[in-house]
Amino acid sequence: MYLRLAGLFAVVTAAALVGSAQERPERPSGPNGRRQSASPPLSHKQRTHDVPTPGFLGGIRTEPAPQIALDTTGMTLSLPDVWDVDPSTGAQYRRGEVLVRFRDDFDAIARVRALQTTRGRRIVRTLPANWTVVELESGVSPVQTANALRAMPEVEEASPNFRLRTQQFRPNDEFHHLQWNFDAINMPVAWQINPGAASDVLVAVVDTGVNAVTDTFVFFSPIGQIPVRFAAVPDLVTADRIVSPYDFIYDDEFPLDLGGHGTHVAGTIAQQTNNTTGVAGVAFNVKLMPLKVISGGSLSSWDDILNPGNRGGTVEIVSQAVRYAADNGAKVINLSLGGPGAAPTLRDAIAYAVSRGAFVAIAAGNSFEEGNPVEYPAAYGEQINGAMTVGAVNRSMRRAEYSGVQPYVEICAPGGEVVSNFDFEGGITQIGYEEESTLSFLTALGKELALRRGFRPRFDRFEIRPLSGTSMAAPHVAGVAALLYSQGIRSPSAIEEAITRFARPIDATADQCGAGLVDARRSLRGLGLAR
Amino acid sequence: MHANQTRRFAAIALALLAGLFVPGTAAGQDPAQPAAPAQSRPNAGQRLALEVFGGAGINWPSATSSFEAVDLDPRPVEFGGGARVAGIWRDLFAQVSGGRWSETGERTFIDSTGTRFPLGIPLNVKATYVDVSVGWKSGFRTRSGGTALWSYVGTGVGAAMYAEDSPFAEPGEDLDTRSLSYHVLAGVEIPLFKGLALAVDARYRYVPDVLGEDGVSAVLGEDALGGLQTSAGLRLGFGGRSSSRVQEPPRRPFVAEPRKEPKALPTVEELDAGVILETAPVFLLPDSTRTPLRMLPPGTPVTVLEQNETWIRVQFYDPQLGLRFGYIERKFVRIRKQEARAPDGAFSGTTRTG
Repeated sequence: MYLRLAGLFAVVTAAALVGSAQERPERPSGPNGRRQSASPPLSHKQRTHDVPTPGFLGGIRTEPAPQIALDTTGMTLSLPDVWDVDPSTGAQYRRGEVLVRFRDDFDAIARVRALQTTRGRRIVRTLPANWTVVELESGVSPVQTANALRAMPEVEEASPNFRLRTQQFRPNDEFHHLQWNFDAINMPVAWQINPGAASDVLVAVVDTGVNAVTDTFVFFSPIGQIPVRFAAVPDLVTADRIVSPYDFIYDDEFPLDLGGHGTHVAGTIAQQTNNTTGVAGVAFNVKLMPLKVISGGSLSSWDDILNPGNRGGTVEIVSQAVRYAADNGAKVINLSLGGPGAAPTLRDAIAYAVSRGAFVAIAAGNSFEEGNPVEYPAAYGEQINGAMTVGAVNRSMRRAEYSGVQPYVEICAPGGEVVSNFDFEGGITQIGYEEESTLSFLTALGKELALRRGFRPRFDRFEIRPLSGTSMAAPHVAGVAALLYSQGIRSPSAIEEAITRFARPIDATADQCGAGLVDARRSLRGLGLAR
Repeated sequence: MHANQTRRFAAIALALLAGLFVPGTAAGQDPAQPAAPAQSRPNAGQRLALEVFGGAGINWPSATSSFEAVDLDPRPVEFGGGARVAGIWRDLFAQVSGGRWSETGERTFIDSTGTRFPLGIPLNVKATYVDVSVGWKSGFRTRSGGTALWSYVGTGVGAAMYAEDSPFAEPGEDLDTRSLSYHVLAGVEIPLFKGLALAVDARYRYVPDVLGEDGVSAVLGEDALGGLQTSAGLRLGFGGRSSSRVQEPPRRPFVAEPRKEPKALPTVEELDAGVILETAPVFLLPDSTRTPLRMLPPGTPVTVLEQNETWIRVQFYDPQLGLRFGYIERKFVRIRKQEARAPDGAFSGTTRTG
């Protein structure tokens, strides 16, 4: 199977091996003041400044999506088109109709005369409070007619019959309909209260990284120099949005995501929204600080193949990243990571970040079915006021079967439960890498074999991916925290209290979901005098 | 209902109720002068009076911290009015009054340290009260008989309608409720013109079961909606003892009193003599609404038989009918005192009829 897949994708790989021949850019100081070395072996990867082939970027999926072939030539829409648009306001109104309220002291004859002078054909309906629906002659503009009627002594008020719409904000992103998770935490109304937070809120995603540049990097792997193409994540990375990115594994400012986990998590927090593209994110206006501390979503990540023995995922560099985020202005930090080993160093780093005004969302862990061990740093969330440990619920708003059950679980958010790679019904849908371009499903051995056979992973092709886990739940809480910060709750402990207080009770015990399911609308709406 | 506050309110109400039946002090009296006797007295012949009033006032809510937390004006202005029936029995009155205030604040979040985080979402709050009160209203005047005022105290119950709404609410999240309320009140009225008076009122209202279960009031532990309300306005009276009559001393009817042992009748020489100062009507009874017996011209000599503060019973010479008896208002007569004079006091009404 591996051979077949490797052979299939080997022919697709066309990137040029130009990295070693190009001059390496000078790198800035790292978070510890370490100067970045220009020599390849230390960093294991090198930027090439290669401009990728146009056509691969900017789209969510470059593979043709399943489509129904319809030939609409010569066809017209059978639905009646009865709406016109007022160019000055953009408001839709019903063609050929105006609403008129006549004064009491004019009789029916005077009213009809008034209508005739403005090319009103007839009164279609009478409404309470002296209002009437007047049909106009064909081609007469309701806007102009209403203006003319308002100037007449017989008429008290007149207006086109404008079309209203629901005030619920529904993002128009192409795949937003797959994001049941946002409805679950009441995001549509929350976005009305606070549309995506403000751009002065900086959210750090301490994870596998987020591609913020479009380029080819050469990795100096045991197999040889491997050129790998990357693209800035479309619909997520925009100009000036990425602040102080850092790769704590390679010790440079290019936190390239070789797994897709960090991209997915960052997307849930901050994916561009209501732009007809891709999917939506909770706090879509915030700035992002991608910090790479972990090598892919599993032990068989491409980082471990291209840079074996890297220090990704160690408590040491995760702690470093958390402190770095706090020191560089992050107000929300998402930690969709953890493990069964105690991490007091990381606990101290989280406490430090909170003391610097950063709220920290921590995934509760996915090991319930593996003995439900205590996981860290999840266990620290409960101890630190301003850090929250987040469990996961599935689409039925019940604890997801993998989500850890521990007394330190403080809140739940949608984490989904997927039964297949494209289980959009059950998973949390966000942007990810095209699977065929990364072969992320292969084991470490499979990836190495594919690499030796000529396959070159590429991280410049994206598609919509459903994932599940408490890793997917935590960024919901991080996003809500960003909204709360933007709304005015600027203390981490107060953010935690607001999320906890307004959580929606669900059918789960306290050690499954803590206070319940995070509710963005209720949290943002706060308290009245009596309610 | 919270037991402590209920007990406190009950104590205040009982004290006020007890005070209803204690004659009031002369609130409008000149402090430099010795206290004048209260001019209002139980009056079995009191007529009912209808009064309507209206005005505006300032509230001093009990839940001030909660009001401030959601950026509501902690001194909301209340507009109200009502109607009162006075003189139900002696100085007892009953009234129905209503008031309303509305404010727009801002939803907020308060954390466990008490730090307030305004959230920028409007919060509309409206409170409407309908109160039914009973009380005691006493009239006072200064010794000079000029400026007078009414003072009153009362207590009662009512209905408090409270509504609170904000954008982005789901069904059931906005509040529109009503609750029983309790109040005590006190005030004064200063007569201005005929029937019209300036009213200044203070009222303490206790409204349980509205605040304290949720919202910032629950966080801050404030569970009573009411509070002190001070208001000023106008009162218009119809009939009965309206303010235009307040300044007049109540007329003392000549009620037949039990006859005391008659003293020896004074001789004519022992009686005071008087002279009419200006044309004066003489009445058969001390009632100026009756048709006079005769108009006495200035300078007419009369013999003073009995007198009180307002009326003098006199003997006078009628050119047509001879000696007659009648009552003249005191202001028309100058009295020359004799050494031996008849004692002042109430007329017997049964002696010396003409």
